[in-house]
Amino acid sequence: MSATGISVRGVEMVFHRKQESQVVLRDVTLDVAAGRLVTLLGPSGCGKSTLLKIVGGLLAPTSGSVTIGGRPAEEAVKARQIGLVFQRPALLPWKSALANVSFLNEIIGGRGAKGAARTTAERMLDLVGLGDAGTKLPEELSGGMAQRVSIARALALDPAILLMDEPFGALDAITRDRMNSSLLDIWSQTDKTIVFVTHSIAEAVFLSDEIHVMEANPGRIVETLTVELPRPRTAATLDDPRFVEYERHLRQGLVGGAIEGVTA
Amino acid sequence: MSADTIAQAVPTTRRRRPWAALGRGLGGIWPSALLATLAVVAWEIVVDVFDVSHFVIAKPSEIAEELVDKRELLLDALWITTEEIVYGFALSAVIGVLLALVVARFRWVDRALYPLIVLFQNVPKVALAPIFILWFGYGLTPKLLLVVVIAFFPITLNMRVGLQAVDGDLLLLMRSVGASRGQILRRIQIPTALPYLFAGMRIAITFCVIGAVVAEFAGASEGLGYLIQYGSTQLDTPLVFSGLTVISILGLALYYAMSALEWLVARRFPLPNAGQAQA
Ligand SMILES: Nc1ncnc2c1ncn2[C@@H]1O[C@H](COP(=O)(O)OP(=O)(O)OP(=O)(O)O)[C@@H](O)[C@H]1O
Ligand SMILES: [Mg+2]
Repeated sequence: MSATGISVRGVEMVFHRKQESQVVLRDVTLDVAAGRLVTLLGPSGCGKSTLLKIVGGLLAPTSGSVTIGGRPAEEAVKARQIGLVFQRPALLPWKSALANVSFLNEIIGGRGAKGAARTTAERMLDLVGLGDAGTKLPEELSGGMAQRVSIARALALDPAILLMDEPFGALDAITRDRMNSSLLDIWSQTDKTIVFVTHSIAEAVFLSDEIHVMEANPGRIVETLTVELPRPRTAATLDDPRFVEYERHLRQGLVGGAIEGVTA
Repeated sequence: MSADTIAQAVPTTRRRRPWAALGRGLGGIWPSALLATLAVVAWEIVVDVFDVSHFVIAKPSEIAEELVDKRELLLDALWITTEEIVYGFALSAVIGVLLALVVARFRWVDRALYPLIVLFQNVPKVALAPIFILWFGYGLTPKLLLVVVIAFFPITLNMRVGLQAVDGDLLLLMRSVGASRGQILRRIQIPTALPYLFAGMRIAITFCVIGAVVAEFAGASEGLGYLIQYGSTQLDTPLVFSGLTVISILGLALYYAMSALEWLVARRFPLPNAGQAQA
């Protein structure tokens, strides 16, 4: 299966609460080319998670449209092309790591699918470097390991699109750097299109082909930045003068208000 | 609301190490056992020394004697009351769980029914016993009814909390693969709710004992509650106290049986996110 691209057109999202209504997303338009890794970068509350849910067909926008591989997002859900990773691992505490990874495929495939689902799950645990930890329960895993399991669970569905909502936000800095490297590693072995939400500038620059910078009230995209750093990206990438320059530019924009349309 | 706070238990988690708990349990038994023994001895002595009337209080030695002498009578009564409690508990569990499932499945039922159930909690249900006797006579039915009316609520309450304690991200994940509501309920919500359910059942079993005894007080021709009341009308104080002793032991045994069950379930189905890294 070749990689699938995403197209978001004029998405508005308004939440109604009692009397008030809040515009959470205004006129969001973006394209993600097939097989790319793009990030949504922005401060808390600017609607990143909301946009991710809309892209994944899990939330219907007030207006506008999302197509995945040329078809409406809801169809991508029906075709099980969406893999999700959240900030917390959200594992079933009573199931082993392996069972957690194969769980969704067992649901999709019914009873007959269990054997195949377990085989896939073993491969995915290997891929995220947890081949030996399959029998462990979630409470026996470190935060980083648990998050790897949740990535394996998403990959086990073999989705065309991987939506990751601050997947490493709860991890310590060292583990986070390692997870970033291994995510790129895993990604290079697959042909997934990844939309990655973060509020870490360095993480965004390190990972992305493209960064969509968002601002709040109303949530919108204020800048799209193409990151032209060579791949594979390694520790050396962090010392690349262009990396430092991208980081400085984004920091000024987000913190200093230099990006167009943003007031500090 | 008071009913809410009283009847809701926090389930034991799996994290407690069993041998540590056991060690603490055993270590914890000795002071209590010692105190209880002292109290029994003191009771015996006080009744003797002050020569309290037989009609007012029975001495432990008299109670023990009575327990042996009237063992057949007491065992028959124990059997009857246990039956009422066990059947009543089973019914309460079934009704409590079903109600929680319906309420969790249909939001409008939850909105319509739940406030009424909570309101109903404030009716002193013990006072319903005479009415049930009036309607259903002296048989098993009014006893079961009273037990259920008293005991289903902590089960429904805790189960409902458990069903709602599900991680929102997990629900999103299930939806992202097109899982049905039934699948979500069976595969995620019910296992998550189990430790809550058993915590609720631990409370419910105590309520069941109360319900059965009160129902027998209100109108019965057999059972421990009946025996206690009969004893008191006959001024047979040793019989009253031996009945009390048996019912207390029964209550304790049932409570510990439920606690053991709860612990086993919490071990198999730990609370969500226990031990996972939190932000
Ligand atoms: N279901 C909802 N109903 C009403 N308001 C909502 C809902 N979901 C999100 N919001 C509001 O939308 C806004 C954006 O929320 P969202 O979770 O998308 O932000 P975010 O960028 O992901 O923030 P963070 O970085 O903190 O995760 C917030 O103001 C939030 O209160
Ligand atoms: Mg968010």
